Amino acid sequence: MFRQLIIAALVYTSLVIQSGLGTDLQVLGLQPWLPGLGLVACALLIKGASSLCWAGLWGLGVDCLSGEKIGVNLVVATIVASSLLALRTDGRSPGLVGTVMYVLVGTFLWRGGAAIAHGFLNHRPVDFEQLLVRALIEGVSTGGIAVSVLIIGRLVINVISPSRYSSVPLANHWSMLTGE
Amino acid sequence: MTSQSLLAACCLVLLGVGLYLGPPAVADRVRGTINDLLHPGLNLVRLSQKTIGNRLDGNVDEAHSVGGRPADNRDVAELADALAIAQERIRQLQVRLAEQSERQLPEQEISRAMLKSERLIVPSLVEVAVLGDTLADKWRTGKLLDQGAKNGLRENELILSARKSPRSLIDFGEDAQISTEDALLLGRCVIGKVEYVGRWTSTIQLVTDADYAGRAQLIRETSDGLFVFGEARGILKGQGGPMCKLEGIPAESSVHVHDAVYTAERDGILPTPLYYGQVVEATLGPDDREWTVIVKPAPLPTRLTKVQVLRTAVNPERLAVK
Repeated sequence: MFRQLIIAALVYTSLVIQSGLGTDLQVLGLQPWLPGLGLVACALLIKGASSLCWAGLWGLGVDCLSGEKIGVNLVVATIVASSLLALRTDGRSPGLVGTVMYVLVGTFLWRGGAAIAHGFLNHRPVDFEQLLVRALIEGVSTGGIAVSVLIIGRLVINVISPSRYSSVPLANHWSMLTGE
Repeated sequence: MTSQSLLAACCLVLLGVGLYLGPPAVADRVRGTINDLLHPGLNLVRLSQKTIGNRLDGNVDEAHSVGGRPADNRDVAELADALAIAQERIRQLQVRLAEQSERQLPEQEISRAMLKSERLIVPSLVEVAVLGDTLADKWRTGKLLDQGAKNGLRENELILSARKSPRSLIDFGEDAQISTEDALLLGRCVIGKVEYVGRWTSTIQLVTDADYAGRAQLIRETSDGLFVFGEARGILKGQGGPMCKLEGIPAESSVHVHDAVYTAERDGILPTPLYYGQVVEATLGPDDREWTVIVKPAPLPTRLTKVQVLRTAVNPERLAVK
């Protein structure tokens, strides 16, 4: 329940910040795509169908704020979230580098996929090179944000609870063995 | 992925496709609800941005104040450099502002300027609607109006034969004195021209379309802030992609990236040239006799719904019996 609340707050905050700040939102001169970060956080924090539902809601939010016809981002975000879930079969935390890669790939696929889909559906000429470069730049800058968030998060956790090992209830042993 | 996840993914994809293809009223209602939900957050972000921006500006002013301690410690040369950079930035912003104001001049102002003319043939603007794909298809297939040529209620064949063409339709034709080659404007930017004129509708051709061609000239701002017109003239051609090509600029002309491209009509009907776009690439090989100039046309909105057609008509003032 706590995770769902965190994700709901993330959905709202990322959409509002991305839309409210627009081009003013920059990391070292590069524009990040915060919903991409959220999508990956969603895929890593929550398992199964609810993760996809949040991804769909994220896509719908982006659709509503984009001014384009509704539906494309919803579909693309769902497909990207499904792919990320399918990649994450072992259930383990992917670590810093893995998470950043997830963010980079997720953002790149979402932004690139949505732009190409919009181009084809609206019969607009698509400049693939420009689109993919832009999606890659957004992926890299969002990955940069992910690194900072993870490092700050770990520092905060270490300050709050310095002991890394805590007692685990007996009922969790099965899940620890099987990963389910 | 579990079967439950797969089912959820399929449902979401179907929902997305449904919203995309479904009636616009449903999509509008969803959009309205989500926008209403996000509205308080957006207001908060904008307010915070404004407050932080004001505070930062206040701090910068304080640090740069002549009597303040930080300013005393600064090197004079450093300050002079900063001043030069700021002045250059202000100059660039002024040029941009002038360009933007020029492009967004309201159509009433253009019409007013044109009506004052004493010339026999004067241009006039008419606002037209670009028909959506569904409506255009219905019109072309005769679902809206087709009582046959005998009854005089049939659209021009040139319009109807473009049934499979991706060209958009506008809702004015011969009845509104629209002619072939009339310029299509958005604000003060030329975005295309009228291709075929029917009785009540016409097809339009955008500057980016492959077979678009129109006279154009380069306008450059000199270091003194003056604008040099008509040094280089050529033909602007659409390429079927996002960029256009300006052909026919001789090698001896000077062409620079960021030069503005304006119309260069020969009949002098227009009071001022109209904006096409900006040079983004200009190359001249050692053996070339002409420049290869790539032009980025003025950006179009996602959905083109209303545009203006610049038509020419006989000046009513001159025809009036005195």
